[in-house]
Amino acid sequence: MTLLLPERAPTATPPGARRRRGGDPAIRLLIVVCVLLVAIGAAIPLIAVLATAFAPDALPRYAEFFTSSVDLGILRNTLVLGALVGACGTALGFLFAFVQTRLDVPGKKILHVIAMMPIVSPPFAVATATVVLYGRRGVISNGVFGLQYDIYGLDGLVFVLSMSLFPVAYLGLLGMLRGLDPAVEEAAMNLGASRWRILRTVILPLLAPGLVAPFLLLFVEAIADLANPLVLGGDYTVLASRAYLAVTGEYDLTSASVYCVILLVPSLAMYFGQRWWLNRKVRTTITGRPSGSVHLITGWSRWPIYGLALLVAAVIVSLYSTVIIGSVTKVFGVDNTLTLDYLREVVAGPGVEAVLDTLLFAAIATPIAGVVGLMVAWLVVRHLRRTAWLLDLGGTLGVAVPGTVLGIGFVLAYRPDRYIGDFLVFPSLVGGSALAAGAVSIVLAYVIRSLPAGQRTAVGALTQLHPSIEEASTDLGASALQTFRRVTLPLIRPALLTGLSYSFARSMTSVSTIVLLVTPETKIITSQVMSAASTGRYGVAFAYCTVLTAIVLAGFLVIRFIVGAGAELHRTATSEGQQK
Amino acid sequence: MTAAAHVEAPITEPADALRPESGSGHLRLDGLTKQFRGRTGTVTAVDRVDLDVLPGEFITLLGPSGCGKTTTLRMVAGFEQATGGDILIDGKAIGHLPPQRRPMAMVFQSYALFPHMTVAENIAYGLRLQRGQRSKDEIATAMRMAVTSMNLVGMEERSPHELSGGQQQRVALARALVVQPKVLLFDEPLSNLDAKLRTAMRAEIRRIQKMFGITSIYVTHDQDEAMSMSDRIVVMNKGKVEQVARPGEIYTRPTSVFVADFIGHANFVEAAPERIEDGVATLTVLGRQLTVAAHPTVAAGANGTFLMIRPETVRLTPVTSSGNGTVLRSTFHGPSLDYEIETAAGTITATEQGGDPSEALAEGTSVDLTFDADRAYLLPRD
Amino acid sequence: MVSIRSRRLAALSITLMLTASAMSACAKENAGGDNSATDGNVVHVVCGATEDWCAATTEKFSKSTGVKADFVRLSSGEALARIKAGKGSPEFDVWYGGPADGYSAAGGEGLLEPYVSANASVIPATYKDPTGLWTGVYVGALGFCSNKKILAERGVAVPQSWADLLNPKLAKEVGMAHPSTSGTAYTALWTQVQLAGGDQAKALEYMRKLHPNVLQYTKSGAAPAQMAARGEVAVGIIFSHDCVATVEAGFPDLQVSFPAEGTGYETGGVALVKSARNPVSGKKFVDWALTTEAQEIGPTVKAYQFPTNPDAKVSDKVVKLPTIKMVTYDATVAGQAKSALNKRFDAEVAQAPKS
Repeated sequence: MTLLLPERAPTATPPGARRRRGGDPAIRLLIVVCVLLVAIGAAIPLIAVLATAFAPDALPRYAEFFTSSVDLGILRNTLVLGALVGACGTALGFLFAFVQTRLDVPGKKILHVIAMMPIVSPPFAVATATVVLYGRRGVISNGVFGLQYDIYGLDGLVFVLSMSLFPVAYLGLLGMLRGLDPAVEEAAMNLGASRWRILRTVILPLLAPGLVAPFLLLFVEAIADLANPLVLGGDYTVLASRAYLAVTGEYDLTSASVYCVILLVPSLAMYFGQRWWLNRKVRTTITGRPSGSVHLITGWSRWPIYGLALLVAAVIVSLYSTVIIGSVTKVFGVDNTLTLDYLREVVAGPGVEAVLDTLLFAAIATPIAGVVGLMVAWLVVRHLRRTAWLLDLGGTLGVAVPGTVLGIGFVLAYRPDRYIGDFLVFPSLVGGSALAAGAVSIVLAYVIRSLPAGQRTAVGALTQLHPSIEEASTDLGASALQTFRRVTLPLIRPALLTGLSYSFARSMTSVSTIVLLVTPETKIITSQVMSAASTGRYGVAFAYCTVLTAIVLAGFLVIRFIVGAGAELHRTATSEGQQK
Repeated sequence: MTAAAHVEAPITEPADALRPESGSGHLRLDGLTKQFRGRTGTVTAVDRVDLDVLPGEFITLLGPSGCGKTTTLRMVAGFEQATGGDILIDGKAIGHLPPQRRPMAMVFQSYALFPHMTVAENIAYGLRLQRGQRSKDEIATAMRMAVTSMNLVGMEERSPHELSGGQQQRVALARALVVQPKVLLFDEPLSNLDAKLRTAMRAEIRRIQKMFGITSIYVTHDQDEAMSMSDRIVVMNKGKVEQVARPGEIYTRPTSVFVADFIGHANFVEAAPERIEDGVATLTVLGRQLTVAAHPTVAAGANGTFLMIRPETVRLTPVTSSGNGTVLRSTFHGPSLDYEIETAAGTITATEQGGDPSEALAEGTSVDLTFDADRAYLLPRD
Repeated sequence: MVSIRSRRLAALSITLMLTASAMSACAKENAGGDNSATDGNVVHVVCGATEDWCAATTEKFSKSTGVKADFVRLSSGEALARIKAGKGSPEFDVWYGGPADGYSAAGGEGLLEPYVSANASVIPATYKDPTGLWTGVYVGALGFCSNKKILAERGVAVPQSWADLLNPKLAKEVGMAHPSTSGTAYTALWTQVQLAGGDQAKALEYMRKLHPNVLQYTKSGAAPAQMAARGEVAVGIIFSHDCVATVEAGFPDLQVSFPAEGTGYETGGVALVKSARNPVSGKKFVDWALTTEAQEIGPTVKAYQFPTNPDAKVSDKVVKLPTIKMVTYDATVAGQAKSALNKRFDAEVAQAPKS
């Protein structure tokens, strides 16, 4: 089942797949809930930003922007970074997914775990560890190889962002490769095609829409990323960090909004581009009548591919080892004396408040994001027609809109109390004086930021699920919600599992929106990490990251325990042999 | 649906437990219409379809792809919302009900078995949804009966993907039957099976349907399937019903050139009736004057009417000189031998049952072509 | 039928948006005024000092006065932005730590409440605002934080002047923060203005010359110390106490030096936020921050700034200010020029190509 196959427009679904069930009030209620959440969490803040960016006093800024070679350079930098990270990250994701599903090699489970690791830590940790290991005085680059490689700038950013973001592509492609009807490959094999030829002429073209999706996702996330350009950017300035500087340094919301709008254009262009692209090609592979079985590659050709994957895995392991070692040594690479001071500060000192707060908020936000994402996907794919794209778009805003923009939107939209006359209709959500000391807005931001993950995985899975399976259930007397619970949900459970896990990890590690929303009473681990690292306290930053990673991994186990592992839909060649 | 009456049903008589309540299953379509609004305008997929299906009757919706048969079926099931007309079961309008509230069950083209459930779970699925009304024992009993009558004993714990196509088909059928629907719907259920299995399953489906006496609507584009299974056939074309009749009548007395052409093979010879009396037309074909049955709408002297001649009613006699036809080619089909004959009225196909290919008439042979006028039928232009 | 319902949904969405817009029109800001009556015996601090210092300070304050205290650590520019964003309904009561330039800029925008603490009388006049907008709690001199090992590799001596930093051998070897976010970097920038006799253009010209040698303008002012410590850069332009603290953290290769031309300094401030929700507790915090008790916390958490209270004990590790050459640094003037000068810096220096 495809995990990250993104949205498809109404016309893409087979006739009858999307229809209304006017009589079902549950569906109607669901629609209202989803629309409200998306409106409050994403649409209104975005509108607040747009309103500021298109206010009369902002308009001259555009002319300035498009005539200034410096500003245009920043725009070019942003796009180049997005494209490179999209390409590298998707390639890495495909490499790992291919090894996982098609190679007969040992240690695939460990490889899977390693490929998932970047999801569970803030990108900031990777950047810092990269500097420590592969920087100018890197423990490995300089210490082992004697190089003095200047990692600051585009190359460093592409490396760090690809390493941090590729699991998104990996998960999507893994699902797609697993969901590909093996009969198609068997057919090609049957026609005498070699393994390599099958990859080139069958698998890749079939996956093409799926390759576009992660590319886009990585592109958008890369150009929205904030922490890495701040650490590793060198003189390579991008729009997101420029906008951030405008807000945090100058509180120039007008300029920030203008940068945000210019940043939004490529994001949205990409988004609609891929929608159009996916509309042209639709493949439904789970029909309820599976056929064929997966054949694993056993020849010598698997070893170079495997070796490449191992190398990447080794780099990932080295980065995360640095985080862990860095949290228990005084100054890793300079003074390797063991110390527990940093960890103590986090779990038993001033940091414990942030740990508990973050955990609480993420625990509230994750199920909401996971379930709402699933519901939005279900409504979009199965129940809505003309308005599907609107809800779909709304649900995706959390990832399409850079976190900084969303944070600014929250500040603009929800800082003041809203009155009609003297009657308080909507209390302030942002800031220390707000409702629940700003916790509401933090949870809301978490939900909106992590909602798209669940939604995308679910849309992908649902699109591949043949509608007649659900129709069969309805036909036998199940209501829409019964069908969802008994048939749809179990079948897309792997997607739900991924969605929830990813939501949780995203909540726990989200930085850019949150740093604008933390208050004295609501401390968040990631903003503590940023604070610690930006004041040079790497040990504490690493300690926070270590604790954070541990929490996220524990969270995965809990989610897996609650949701259950996914259903295996395809046989492997060996098990089929035993059956016959 | 209440199941109280079936509690004591003995296992040896599965039919009782699965048979719908007596006197039910009368399905009526009343001006059923479906319009899709597309980018280029409105498309009428189903156009004012009227149909009366009697309890226990097996009706086939037959037609080329895109004729609206599947849309009609899906409207009956409730998967598509009709834009006009209504659907009635036993006199009660159900057009406004969602699919799950309609007393019907469907067998899908793709079977749509739940891949995450075993055979037993698949079959019991519909029953479990009625848990409020059924005890665990009842569910188990009904499930066992379905398994028995569908020859699925021993496969209860298997996954759908561990079954053969025919077995999957039977599970899908069992799953639909076990909820005791008033109407059973089939959406080209055999199109994924190989030819032999398909023929076997036709008989199997018909047997079970008769055993339980369930009103059934069966959608197919395979006229052979329709002819061999149906009580009546509904031939559809471009969203409209062309003809509703028993298979024999459809074959011998089609109401249009389209139906005649779609059902079996037919030769059409343009012929103007000279006289029509009591539905019998007098006309001249290939130089011979004949009397043939005529469609009621054909009027005397009408132009552009067509005489339908089935190939198997054509007889060929080789002649040494001046026959009314010449052999163009012959094709051997096993049970029959087909000829294409060039005549003054165009190319006519003739079928010789049990013909021996080694004794086939050679190309260019001059023949005298006659046909059984009793089995010919005069049709109006479409 | 389908489209009717779809339209209804679209209408619902649009209604929601309109409601939102309408609501923004009704946004009402707290009119300000005196909140003394509703003081919650708690103080929310936006803290510009290091995390440790902030934590230790708020803790000690609570212990001494019985008033609860919590804090968020933000860089100078960020803190200013947050206070500005919360204008009218502030989330913070007190701003503590960070260069007074920022306080002065905030005061200029009417974000701070003037308060002359009774304890402020002992603080030298150069370290406080005459109207009580802010009062100094510590002083720290700007300096160079050099990694001796790296410099030796490059064959460059420890820089002793601003001119030394322009050495082409130090290409991409200098670390400095961005003055928009970092008070440290702004102090460095304003020092250039002072050295140029108040000529901003000349100061920016120096910065442009320095630009090819700067690896990256970091967000936080203290970060270049860490970068120098790791050898990512050879020299960081930072407050000398941050460099000392980094040496303490385990980087013995670092060495502090001061420019011969003269250097700038920061006066770390404390101020009351305007319309604070807990003004009584806030004032208590300001009073307490000026005491010797508060000002002697620094060295216990590796913060080696010079206390403004002359009676406070000075740790051995603290740089003795009288021994270095300082420029005249008027935080009020610097603060007023801050926003405009930072914009010029960003446009004319930070984004320029390096070759």
